[in-house]
Amino acid sequence: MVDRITGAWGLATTTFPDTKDDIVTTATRRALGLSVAVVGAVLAILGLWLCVTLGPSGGATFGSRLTQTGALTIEPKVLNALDVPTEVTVARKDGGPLWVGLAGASDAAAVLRDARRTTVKRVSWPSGSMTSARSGSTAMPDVTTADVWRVSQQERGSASVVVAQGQGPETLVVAAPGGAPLPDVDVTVAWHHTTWFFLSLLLLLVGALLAAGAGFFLWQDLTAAPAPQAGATSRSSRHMHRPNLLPRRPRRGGTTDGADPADTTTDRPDPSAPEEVDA
Amino acid sequence: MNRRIATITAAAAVCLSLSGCGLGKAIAGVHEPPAPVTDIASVTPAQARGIVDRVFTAAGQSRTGAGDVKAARAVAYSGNALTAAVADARLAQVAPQVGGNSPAIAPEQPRILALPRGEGFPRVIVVQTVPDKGGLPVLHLVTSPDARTPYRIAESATMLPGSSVRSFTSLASGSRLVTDGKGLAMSPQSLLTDYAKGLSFPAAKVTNPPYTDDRFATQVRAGAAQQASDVSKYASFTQTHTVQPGSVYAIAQNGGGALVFAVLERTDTFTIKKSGSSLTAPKQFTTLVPGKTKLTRKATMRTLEMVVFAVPKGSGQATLVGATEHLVSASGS
Repeated sequence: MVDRITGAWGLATTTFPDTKDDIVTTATRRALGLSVAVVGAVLAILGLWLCVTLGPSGGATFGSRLTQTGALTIEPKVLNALDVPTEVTVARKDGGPLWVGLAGASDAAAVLRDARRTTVKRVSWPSGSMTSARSGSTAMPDVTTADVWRVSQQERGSASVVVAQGQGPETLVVAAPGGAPLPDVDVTVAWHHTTWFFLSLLLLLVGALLAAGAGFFLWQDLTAAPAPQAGATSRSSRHMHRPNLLPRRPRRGGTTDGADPADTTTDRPDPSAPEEVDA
Repeated sequence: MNRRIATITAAAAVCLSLSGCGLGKAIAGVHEPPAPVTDIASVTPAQARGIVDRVFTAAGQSRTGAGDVKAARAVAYSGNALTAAVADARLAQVAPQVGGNSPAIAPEQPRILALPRGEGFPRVIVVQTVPDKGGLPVLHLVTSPDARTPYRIAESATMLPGSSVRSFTSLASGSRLVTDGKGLAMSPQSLLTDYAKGLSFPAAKVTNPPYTDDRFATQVRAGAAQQASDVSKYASFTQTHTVQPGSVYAIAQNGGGALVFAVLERTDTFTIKKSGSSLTAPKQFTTLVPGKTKLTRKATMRTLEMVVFAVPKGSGQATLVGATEHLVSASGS
């Protein structure tokens, strides 16, 4: 009776690999593992590069020398693109006086109207470059006397303004005092976002873990089984690595523990074992 | 084995999606420019402090005569207030008090009561000053008509004894201009039109006046009656009051209601009754019209009356809280 029950379990065990959907070729499995390892490595390298580029403060800086025709303006698309303060530094090439004013976008537009100006419209990262365009057809008025400027300052040579967020769209205007033409200026826009650094760090860690995990999987797969034939189903290796969820056939003697693969693959009775008979 | 592969594949997919799109604008926090913020003051309190200091320092300079008075006056005043300041300066040379109870400016003590809200124009700042030699506080309306024009004092009125002004919303929030009278007991423009009509001489009847009687109106009416009486033998006297176009500003107050600034133009007309008769022009007249000491046909004197009303919300009557008059021009023959 016991032997029949054992034989039934044994039959169940032998039918398991016949489920066709579970079969994955070794080549596919290894290709997947390799892909994941490569992606992980790429992510880790990218994360490392970002960490080094942004630095612990998470800084991104953009700069350009702009040739002026009237005033220089920086649009909200740049100033208010993030929820962190934007630092703008402008420097006159000739070291002359410089006026900088920050106002609501609509106010700045109402003051400038169609005055000739160069507008910084976009910044690009990681190149750190700026995209600007010229517009306007009338002479630059003396904008310094208007009362729309939330922040304004006049300096000689260079000036810096920090644009805090939360005031809606804002425009920064750089002009020469009294409406005089503004010569070439060097403009630098900088953002410091600490979160960027930690995200880069996270990317580095995730990528490294992914690459390491996939590498370990590949190493284990390559060293634990013989090289399969192309297109062959790797049943033997599956039997080696896959946990058998079903009770194993008990060895003669009444235990299911400690059976080696050879015991489970033979149905030959042990000639030395006492033969059991039904009563 | 399959479970492990599935887990690795899923993790890879997540990381790929994060690295492909996530490290883009979304993860970096880059977004489109925000929408305009309309529920905050158009000028920051610090910015307003700078504006008010500039304006009232210039106003003080123009009154003391220090430096370039004309330039200082142009920085401090605009419109009716500039007209009044120029006339005051001329009249002060012959009779310091002849220009009326001119608001004394104390540059060191301006107190900002209200700031403009939103992006629209005109923008107004309400300021109160207290004369450094004592006296009644003065309410000022400092306006900027457009983005290119700086703020300057447009109207000033001395507060009436016992009057008070309810608070405005916080300086950070700003106070909106009431342009249509919505929510108020009456339209500011109709209030001023009725008030001007009620001041005229001979007196015109105003039924159900939307304002309470006040000391300033009583004095104006009494003054007109006195002048008419003084010249009755030789001349007839009439007095009209009209609301100056574009001078009415209603600033919403906390909890409803509004403080309304306006300028009325008063025209005093003397018409000689009999040929051969004449009137002797007073000092202020001859100052404004040099060489004209005898008037044989007609004389007119133009005075600006700057008034401030407290208008309640819903229903009720408006109350005059401030008024100042400036004789600004004269003519005659």
